[in-house]
Amino acid sequence: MGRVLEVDDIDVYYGELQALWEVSLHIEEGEFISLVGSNGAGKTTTLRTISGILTPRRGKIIFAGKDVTGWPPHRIAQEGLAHIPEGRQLFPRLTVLENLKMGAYTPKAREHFDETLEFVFTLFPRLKERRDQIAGTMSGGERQMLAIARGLMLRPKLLMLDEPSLGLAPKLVQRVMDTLRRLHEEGLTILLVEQNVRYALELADRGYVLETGRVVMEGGGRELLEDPRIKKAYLGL
Amino acid sequence: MVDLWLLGQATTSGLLLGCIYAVVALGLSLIWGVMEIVNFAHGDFLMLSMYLSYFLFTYLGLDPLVGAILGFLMGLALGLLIEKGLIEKVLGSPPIVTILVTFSILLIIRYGAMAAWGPGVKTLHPWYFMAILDLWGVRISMAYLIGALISLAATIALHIFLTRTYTGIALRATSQNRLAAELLGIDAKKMYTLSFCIGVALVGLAGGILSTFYYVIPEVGGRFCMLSFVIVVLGGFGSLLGTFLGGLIIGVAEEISAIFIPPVMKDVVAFILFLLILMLKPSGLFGEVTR
Repeated sequence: MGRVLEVDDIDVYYGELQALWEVSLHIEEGEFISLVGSNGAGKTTTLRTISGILTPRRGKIIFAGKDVTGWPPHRIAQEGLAHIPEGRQLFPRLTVLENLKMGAYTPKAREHFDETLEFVFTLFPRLKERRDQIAGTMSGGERQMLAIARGLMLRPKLLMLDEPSLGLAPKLVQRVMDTLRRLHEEGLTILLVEQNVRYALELADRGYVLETGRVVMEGGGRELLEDPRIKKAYLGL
Repeated sequence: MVDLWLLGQATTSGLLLGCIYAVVALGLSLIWGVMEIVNFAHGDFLMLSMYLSYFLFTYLGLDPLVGAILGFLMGLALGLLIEKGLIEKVLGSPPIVTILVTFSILLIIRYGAMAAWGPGVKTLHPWYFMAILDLWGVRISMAYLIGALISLAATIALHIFLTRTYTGIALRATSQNRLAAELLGIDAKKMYTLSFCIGVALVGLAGGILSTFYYVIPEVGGRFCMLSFVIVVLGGFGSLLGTFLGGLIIGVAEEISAIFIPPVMKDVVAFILFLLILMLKPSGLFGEVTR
């Protein structure tokens, strides 16, 4: 078991506006980590910094043993990071299969395209039926499944998901969460950002709580769920 | 009474000519679709390639179609040089900046050519220049036919590249969602360079083809640049199939209108058609819904 990700004391700015203060977190191989917090707490900013869309002004990001601070997103992806951003971000005018092919764009992923595709199709049989459909014409739930499937095609060392439940009916949210649980059981390392704090912490081995750009709490998933402050602030209990 | 034979004749040459126009416009369409920059120098790259064919034919006796292949290669190299040296530096700037950059390239190439080679009209006459093929009573210009076949082959090759190869699909993916592409390991900058190179290479190929029946002057690019804009908008931005069909429509419209009105007016017909279609369907004939 090794450390997949280490975020070490980062400060991140949007122009002159500071969005993250001294954020540190780490993920071990096979762990399921949830990042929770209210709107504007800096969850998305954290993911965007890890994947290289934003560069921290201070601090370091170590991914899969390499210091990737300041690397462009495509280089970090090639190291095995799959970031499924908010709002799916599919290629709307490519077919389902073409979207999945692009998931396996990196040389390492391309080598295993056939077997990964088979795995992804057993996970989401619906995508197999719709493989030749144009992605933009599918329903919200199907698009979220395609977004997750496309991320898996990269054969990631770490799968990061930003609000996968956003805009989905409760039944579909349950489907997505069940899928994540199953992937975790099969050994995938996952970093989940979710508004739905209950789901997120129930699934997680450990969780981090962000507030106004700072990590204010961390601990086991269940442990955080039982914490009176979390109950009051996020679960309305 | 319109002569049906004449109409059939005009339609046939229009379709052939349209295939060649389509290749000119496909280059522009690809660059616009992926990089979202309007390449005003597009027609002048075409002109350069026409001169290349002219010189190779006149001084070395090389067939202009060999010149077209070399024009394609010259386009690749020129595209690489200009994209890396200039365009890449201004990508993401306000549109006026990229417009000024490509417009400057236009001026430099066009008037550089005029200074170097003079303003006079040059023509080259390969064996098929005046050759006519008689197909069941329809007379076809050999130069049009050969040009159309090469254009068709190039279009099919481009289609296969864009739909069957990882790199080709990545090019389309980058044009649809740059951020998502980068998050999957696609180097968007490389894709931009590649699309610019292919775009200029296609117009380089078309230049060699056109030189077999079209006059060569330093200002020839202006007409083809405008024509390409019309074709791309007509077919719908971002749709390569639309661009190809747009080329055919403009080719046929020009040839048919030449029956009824003086040939100097043929571009007017193309532009009126263009405005009419835009009034009826602003996204172009095959315009795709935006993301």
